[in-house]
Amino acid sequence: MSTPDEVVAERIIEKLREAGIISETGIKKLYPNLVAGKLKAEDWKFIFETCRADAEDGHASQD
Amino acid sequence: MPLRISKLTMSGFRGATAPTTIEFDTTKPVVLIFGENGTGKSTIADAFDFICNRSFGSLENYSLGEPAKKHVASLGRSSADVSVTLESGAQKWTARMGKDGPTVNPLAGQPDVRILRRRTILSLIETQPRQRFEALKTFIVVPNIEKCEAALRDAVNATNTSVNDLVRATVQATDELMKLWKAEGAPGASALAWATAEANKDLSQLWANLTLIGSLLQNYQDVETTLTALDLALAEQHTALQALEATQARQQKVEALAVQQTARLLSLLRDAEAYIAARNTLTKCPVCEQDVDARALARRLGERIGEMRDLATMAAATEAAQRQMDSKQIVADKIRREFCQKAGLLAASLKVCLLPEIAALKLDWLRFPALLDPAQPAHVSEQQARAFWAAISRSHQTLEERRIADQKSVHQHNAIAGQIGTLREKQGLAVAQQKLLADLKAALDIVMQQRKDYIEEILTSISTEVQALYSRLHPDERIGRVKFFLKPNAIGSLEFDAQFQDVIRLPPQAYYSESHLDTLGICVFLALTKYFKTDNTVVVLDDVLTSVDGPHLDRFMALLHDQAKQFGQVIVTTHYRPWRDRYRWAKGSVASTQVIELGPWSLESGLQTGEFLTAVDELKMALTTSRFDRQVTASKAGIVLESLLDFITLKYRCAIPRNARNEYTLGDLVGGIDAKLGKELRCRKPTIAGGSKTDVLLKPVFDAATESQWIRNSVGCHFNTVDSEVCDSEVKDFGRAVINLSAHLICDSCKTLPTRRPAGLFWQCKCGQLEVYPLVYPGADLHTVDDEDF
Repeated sequence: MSTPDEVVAERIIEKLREAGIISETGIKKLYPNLVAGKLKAEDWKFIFETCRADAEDGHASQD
Repeated sequence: MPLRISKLTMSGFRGATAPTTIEFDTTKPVVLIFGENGTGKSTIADAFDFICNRSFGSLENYSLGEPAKKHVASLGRSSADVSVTLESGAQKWTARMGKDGPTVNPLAGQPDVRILRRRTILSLIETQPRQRFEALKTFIVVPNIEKCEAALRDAVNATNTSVNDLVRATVQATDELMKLWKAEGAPGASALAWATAEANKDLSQLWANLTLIGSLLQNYQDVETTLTALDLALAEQHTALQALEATQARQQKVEALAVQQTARLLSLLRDAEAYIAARNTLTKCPVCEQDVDARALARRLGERIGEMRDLATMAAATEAAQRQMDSKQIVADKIRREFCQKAGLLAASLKVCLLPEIAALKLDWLRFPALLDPAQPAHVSEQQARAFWAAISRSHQTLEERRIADQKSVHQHNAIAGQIGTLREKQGLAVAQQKLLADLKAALDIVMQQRKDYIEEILTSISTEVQALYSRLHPDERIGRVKFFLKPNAIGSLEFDAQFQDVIRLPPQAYYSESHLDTLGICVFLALTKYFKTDNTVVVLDDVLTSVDGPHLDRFMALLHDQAKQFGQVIVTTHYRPWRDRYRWAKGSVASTQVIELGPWSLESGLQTGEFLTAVDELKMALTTSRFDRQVTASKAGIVLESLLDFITLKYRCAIPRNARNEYTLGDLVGGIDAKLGKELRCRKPTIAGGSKTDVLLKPVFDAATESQWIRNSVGCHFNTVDSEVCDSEVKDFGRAVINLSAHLICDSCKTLPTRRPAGLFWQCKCGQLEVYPLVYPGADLHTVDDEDF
């Protein structure tokens, strides 16, 4: 049975995915740390900066 | 089959001063451990906590003034003596006292035991919202998510600050550009357009001019410095010459006074003096070879040298003045050459210089031919250099002003370029940070919402479940509708309200009775445990029920049995004897409940567990024991008969003579079953397990038991002579007749009386195997039917 932290973490990941603000790579980094409560402010920023940079690189290469 | 605990062994643990083993019947989902106060019920619950939750159980609820672990060991025993072993089928775990608390071997796999104590009920129901939240927070908090949410909030705040700083920096850079633009008279379409154009200007020529001017000014400086040095050297040379000439004049005057006493003579005399001093034995003159007195000669030489001392002094002064003069000459010549060289360098630079400030000098280079020709004599070069310097020295200031102006232009350009660069850099960073901020805010909204939704879901679900459970315990009492909720804008505060009569949203603590609050707390605990149960969840209720009336107790027992299906096992401890007696008198199903009785505790023997028997079982045992006790048998038979007659007469509302104390004798109860009821009264049950049901008229069975009921009084209760006339076989027959009656009224399968009426036509036991007819006294209104038990 999932722990409450795991349940909420899964829901959060699903909503972030729906919102389109995080990549699958970002999700892989985010989920285990979210469940373990190990995310620091710098980690959040790094994940979203990386995701956005990846997304912009992707758009640039498509262009 | 769900995980069920089969055995608990305690040694040196709390009240278990002697090794104690409790075996659980794993075929039964409910275990009732009955014991009066001080018999060790909490020790058992604490043992479950110790091994399954690594907790000190009820000890943790008290302020002991020292760590709870000091009191885990039994009185007079040490921590090393503490041992709790739990078994479930083939699995076995042992817990001992470690340095930091209980240590369990093996580490994992124990049942998930959830324990409710009376003090916990207080925390759930009667305490302040904050304490209630603390009591429930293990169920409703997501600590790791909350940590990450706090970190995310920090990230949002930090990024927001960063965005603000960047925006401020861009505004500052724009303001600076505006100032520069306005200082320049606001040229162009805008400050930004002007600044961009300025920043893009080519400054190479400006830089070249600045370098040239810098070099020229250095040359100017060099010429000026060497000219000053030359003038100084010449002045010093002139002074030295004057000193030499004065010294020479004075020497000539001294020499004129002593024509013979020339300097050469003085020198010769000094030499002769030194010669004689070195030869003490001299007797002849080394020049004329005549005999001489060396002493007299030396004395005379001394006298003559003394006479010539002034002349010597003047000669030395003249020599010094000459040396000084020569030195100053050399210095002046050197500086002159240097001056001429520097002036030549400057002239060469200026001759090719295109700066307007130099062109404006309109220098006539024909006036200074020697300046650019190193072969020219020094004095010629010096004259032309001096003339050249006189012609150009005023241009030094002009060039300096030009340099300052050009440097200002460069600084202006650098300032504009710097501000433009800052503006573009900060604008770029601000855009990136704003995007990041938007992502972080969106993520924070999601995290917060999901966490809140999750907790709200739990609270809603729990509220619904509590209501369902509570309404079963208190049907038609217009209480319940319990709702748990987190107080908005308050951290760690759990509120709840409920209905009382027709008013909703009331604090139940203010309106509910203590027993209603108790059952509410139990329902909350069961709802929470149910919500978070695992496949291994075992529920332990440690003496949570104080006193409730019969109908509520029946409903509570039914509720527990029903909820037991949700869990592996439900273990209940109680000191409440009516609960235990429900099973003794077949009101509760011993087929699905194991009843364990605790005897008096003592320090020497510790916990005492005894076998529980129903009243019918006790009667059967009395009949089969090798040492037959007629009094006991008669008494037990009478009391069982009394309980069965009480059940039937209540169910059918039989007419019994009333008395002031509302107590009825066995004879009164026997008379309650009249002929009209006796004609209809029958039971229906399978003759063999799983077989079809057959009807049995109960009147003959009742008659067989009641016709000997006098034996209870004669043999079992009172002293009288009649007792002596009753033989053992008559007592045994009475007992067997009562057992036969019980066999027709108590189900063989579930061991309960028929207290339910699901079909509305007859009474039925809990498992449905036994049916008793009719539903009501013959001819009575159906509305008069007795309440059913749950």
